[in-house]
Amino acid sequence: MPYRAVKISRGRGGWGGPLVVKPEPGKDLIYCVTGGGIHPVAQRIAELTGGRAFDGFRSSAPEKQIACVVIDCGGTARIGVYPMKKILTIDVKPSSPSGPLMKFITEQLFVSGVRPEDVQLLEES
Amino acid sequence: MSLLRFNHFPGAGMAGAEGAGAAGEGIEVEGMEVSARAGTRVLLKYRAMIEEIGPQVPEFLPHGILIFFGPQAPAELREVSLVHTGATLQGAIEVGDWLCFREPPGEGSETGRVLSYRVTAVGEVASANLAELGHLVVHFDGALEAALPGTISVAPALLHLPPVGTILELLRLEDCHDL
Repeated sequence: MPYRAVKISRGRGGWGGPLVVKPEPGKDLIYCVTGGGIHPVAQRIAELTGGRAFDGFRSSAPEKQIACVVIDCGGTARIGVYPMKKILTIDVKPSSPSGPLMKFITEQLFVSGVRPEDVQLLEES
Repeated sequence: MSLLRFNHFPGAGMAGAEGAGAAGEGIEVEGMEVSARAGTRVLLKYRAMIEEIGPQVPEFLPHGILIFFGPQAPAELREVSLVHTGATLQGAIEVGDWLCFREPPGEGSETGRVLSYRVTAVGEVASANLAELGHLVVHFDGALEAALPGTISVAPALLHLPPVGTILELLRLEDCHDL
């Protein structure tokens, strides 16, 4: 199955984005670090793109296999660590850039307040 | 460093590692509740041991921030975190609780230092993060409002990093009048 691209827009009160996520062979993990299993937002991204939902708290994977990461960050660690590594970061909480790592958090790398309905297939023309 | 000990700790001496010489009995905090001294009891909410300190943790020190994660944290988060053994949170974190670092015994001292910090603010998701992921972000700024939903603030300021082997505790001292 070919991978497809999705557009992920900020939700209410959110910040950043929109991001376009399209997995590639060898870089197709929808990497979920929310705790409590695969978050519905990660699930939807995986279903629409053909990527693989992956629970970062259950197993580990090399960073280069990560297509995007889904977080539920309260504002310091996860919100900054992944953008610092230039990994597309989707926060299900409506956080804005904050914390010591905030300089790494850009609209091109980060979008927040995201609900499943904020993830839409991108019509490629 | 003596100022950092129990001078700002009501009921000084309740924490075991301080040992003899303090006003209390120097008891061990073993269970969830133990009596510290007459009229006060200790509610131990969380206890875990720091096992690993990420290479980027020192970069947060100038900001007065420590990030904790439980043992399941993925590698990229371990880089910025003090990774601990994890525990079951026995009650929501509240203003007035104490965050204690019981350092392991060092050279020439049989008991390690115990540094205590009073919780001054609690973000709305801080307890849930700790319960679920062992994740806690501590701002050593004494703020009366948490900077972010996931953070707690404590006082006084952090002067140095707790070493690997330090026991991290969250506890509450309660007056108890039904002796």
